[in-house]
Amino acid sequence: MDNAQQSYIFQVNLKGMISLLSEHLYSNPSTFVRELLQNGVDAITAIRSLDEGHQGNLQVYLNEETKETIFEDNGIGLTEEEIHKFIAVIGESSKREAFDTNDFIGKFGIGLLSCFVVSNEIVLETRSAMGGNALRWTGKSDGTYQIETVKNDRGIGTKVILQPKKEWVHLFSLSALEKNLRYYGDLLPISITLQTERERISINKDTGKWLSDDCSKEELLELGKNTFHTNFIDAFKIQSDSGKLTAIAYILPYKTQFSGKQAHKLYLKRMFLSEDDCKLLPRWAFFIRCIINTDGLSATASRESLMINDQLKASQKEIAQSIKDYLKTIGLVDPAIYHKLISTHYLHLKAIAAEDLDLLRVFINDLPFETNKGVRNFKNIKAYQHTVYYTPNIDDFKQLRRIAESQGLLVVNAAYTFEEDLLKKIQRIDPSLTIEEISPAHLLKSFQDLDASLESDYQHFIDHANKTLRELQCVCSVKHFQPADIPAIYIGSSMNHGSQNSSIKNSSNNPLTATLGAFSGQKKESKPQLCFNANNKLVQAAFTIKDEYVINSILHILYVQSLLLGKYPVSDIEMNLFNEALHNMLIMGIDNFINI
Amino acid sequence: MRYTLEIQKLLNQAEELAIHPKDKVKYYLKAIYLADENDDVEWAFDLRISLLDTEWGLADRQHFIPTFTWLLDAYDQNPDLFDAEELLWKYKWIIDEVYSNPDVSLEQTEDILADFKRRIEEHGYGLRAYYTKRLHEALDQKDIEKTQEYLALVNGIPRDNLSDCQACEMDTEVMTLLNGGNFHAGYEKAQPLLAKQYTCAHVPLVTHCNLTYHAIINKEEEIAAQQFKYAEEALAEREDESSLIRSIGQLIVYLFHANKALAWQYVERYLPWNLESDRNRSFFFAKYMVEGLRLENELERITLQLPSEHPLYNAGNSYLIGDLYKYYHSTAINLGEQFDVRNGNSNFINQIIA
Repeated sequence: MDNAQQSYIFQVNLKGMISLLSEHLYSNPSTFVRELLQNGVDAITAIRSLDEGHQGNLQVYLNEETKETIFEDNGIGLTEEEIHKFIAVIGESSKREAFDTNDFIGKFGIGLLSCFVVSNEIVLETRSAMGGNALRWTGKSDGTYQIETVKNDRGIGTKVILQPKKEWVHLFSLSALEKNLRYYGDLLPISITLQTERERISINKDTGKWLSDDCSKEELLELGKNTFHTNFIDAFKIQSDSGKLTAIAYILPYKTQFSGKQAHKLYLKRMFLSEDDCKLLPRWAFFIRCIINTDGLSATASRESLMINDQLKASQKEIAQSIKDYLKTIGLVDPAIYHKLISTHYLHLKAIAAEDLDLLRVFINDLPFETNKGVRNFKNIKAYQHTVYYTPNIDDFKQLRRIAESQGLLVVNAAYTFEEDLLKKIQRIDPSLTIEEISPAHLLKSFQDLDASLESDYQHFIDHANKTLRELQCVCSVKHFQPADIPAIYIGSSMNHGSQNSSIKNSSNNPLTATLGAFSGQKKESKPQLCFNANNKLVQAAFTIKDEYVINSILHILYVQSLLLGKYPVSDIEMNLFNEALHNMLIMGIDNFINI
Repeated sequence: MRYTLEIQKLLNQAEELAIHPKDKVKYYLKAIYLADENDDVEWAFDLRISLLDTEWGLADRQHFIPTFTWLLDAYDQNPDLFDAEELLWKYKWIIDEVYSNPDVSLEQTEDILADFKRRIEEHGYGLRAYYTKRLHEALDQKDIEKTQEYLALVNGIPRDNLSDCQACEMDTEVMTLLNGGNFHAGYEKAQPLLAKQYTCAHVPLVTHCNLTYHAIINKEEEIAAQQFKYAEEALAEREDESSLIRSIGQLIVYLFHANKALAWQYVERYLPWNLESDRNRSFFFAKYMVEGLRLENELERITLQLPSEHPLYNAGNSYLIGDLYKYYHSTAINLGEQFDVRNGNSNFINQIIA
């Protein structure tokens, strides 16, 4: 037996391969428009390396009746050898090796296959600038192709003829084709025309001026309006050397959330690539939409996004820096835009400033914060009082708002984590300021205790209140505080895990229960507190009531009222207690109630 | 049912793409409060699971244990309402958390492990996940003998749905080799992870960090530089995940060898994460800071913006490197002793390279 090992070659099911590449690689059936435009542009780029002055153009002919569509370019054309090599070998990397491949948009040798999504047959007629006869290549989606010589004397260049499949015929209406040609080709530097028997439409006349010229701001804004149908606040240009990238950044005129992504227009060598920013923009740039062209970055195989490589990362950094530079200087350049920017996008600006001290220094005084005295900018806040108090969560803020007001305090609502970070960083920039967190419990401590002489009078009331409200896990106290019209204030527990009000009770079989103490640390959970206001007339009157039935009802009413005042949720049990208490009051007679 | 609408609104806010995980936690807590208030155990369960998922990425996991304690009770009281596998997966996180707190006694830890073991067996799973937890602790203690013992036990049991993902398991094997002083074997073992054949939330990021650190201490500068580059790239995708502070400590050691200016930038940028870490992460971060700072001149001063909560903070932003070294050294010793007292050995202290 011969010991020599025999090598075999993998067999490829060509039909399956074509189907795989043509139907599954691309997410959009209109991709063939981009691929054919791209082949045309590459062919013209190639001939320009032989003849710099060559006036390239791309013509698309549509027979509106039969829907036969022809894409024709006056580029370099293909020789028979090139047809065998580039068109018929799937995966043959790169275009014409004789030329600098960086000049070409495509490079995977699979673009033409996208035509098989919409057409069962591709006819390509070509005549090469390198000489030889004009040729016709006919490829079929079953993987076979023929080449024949064409007798009529056609010019140098290539045309691709498609007969649409029935199911894709709608892509070959005049309006659909025009739309797709504009979508992909509106920035291409080579003239594209769409021609039917009736009319001739120019697709990309005078586009791309912004890439080279110093366009005025008005022109940039006009372009933004036409592209995104939005009247932007401002526009500015961005350059990145790493990605050979030029962009126009537009500032949105309306507030945006931290969710969702903005649609952009991203071009690669002036061919439309994606509406996604492909990670070029910093993650905080929710308030910006961009038109971007890059000549230096690379596309993925499907040419629907950019490859993430060192160049792209360097571009990301340069773009982020350009946006920050803009933000740092816009106040000097145009104060009106600066103020509009702040009033519209202050949330995002705060998030950026929390990460960038230089930017924070620029914006610090003008950044608005919600306070218990309305929205105020930071300059105003620090002028109001030496110590800037803030609450790190919205619930505390809601609760503190009114009481702080009555104490003459200004409290900032730092509901987002970055707002708290921002305040801490402001403290760092300006050590003369004192910025302190404040909580309802903190405020409770600042309330004035009762005189020892009075306390004994109220002891009965407090004992009773604690007993009555024990089932609601609430601890009661009485203090003097303003405003006098608030009978009681409810301070929720620290909500470390919010399980006090849960019907699920700790089981002694649960081995984790024993460890809870080890994890509470400094953050010992506090029980909810109800602090009655000794300045309040109703409370003062309640102290004198001895009737258990009446006092219980009043305590339940005050308890639920304080929940509502503090914007706490009221459970069914609590609402029932409240209703029952009111019912009791009715039974006892409204006159008696008034006489209390 | 108005409260369910309120909960849904809070969830919508919590699920916004770019909000900070700490803000997500706030929304979940509020939603949990509403669910509890309305005695909706199913909502309360799901929301607590989401809370754990969010806090998992943070160094500050203050709600982990109380939340899971509730989940376990809720499950035991309503076993047909909830997915046991989901709960047992979270239990694995909780065991890490329990080990990371030296105030939890060995006896309590063993009780918890026994409970975990009983539950996984009752639900028909193998003990691979159980031994993996013990293996992780042996790795933290750098106990080579126990590491080998548990690794053999883990590999002796087939994978199942409670096993760590393949990326994590492979990363653990890499760690085992690196910890055992077999850098080249570890690097070899890591190749499928480096080629991203297996990935998960933190792998290969933590693998890159481990390799960066072990490469530099094994004087494999080129590998260290390459792994640092990958680690930095992966880190850019996880800008809010403060639970990675321990791995960042490893990068800081590398940077004090290779790029001091960047090392200080890292220290400045990531120190706030450490301030909210559990004691396990704090120990390792302090240990790595010691290893980095000992390469510096302790008599030199450095301009550094420490967080105002940092015990050494001063408004002038100027620090003697020797003071920083002393601080982190004493922190590492203090925390190491706490763990060693709990564990009855000297495995943590022995890891501090002064």
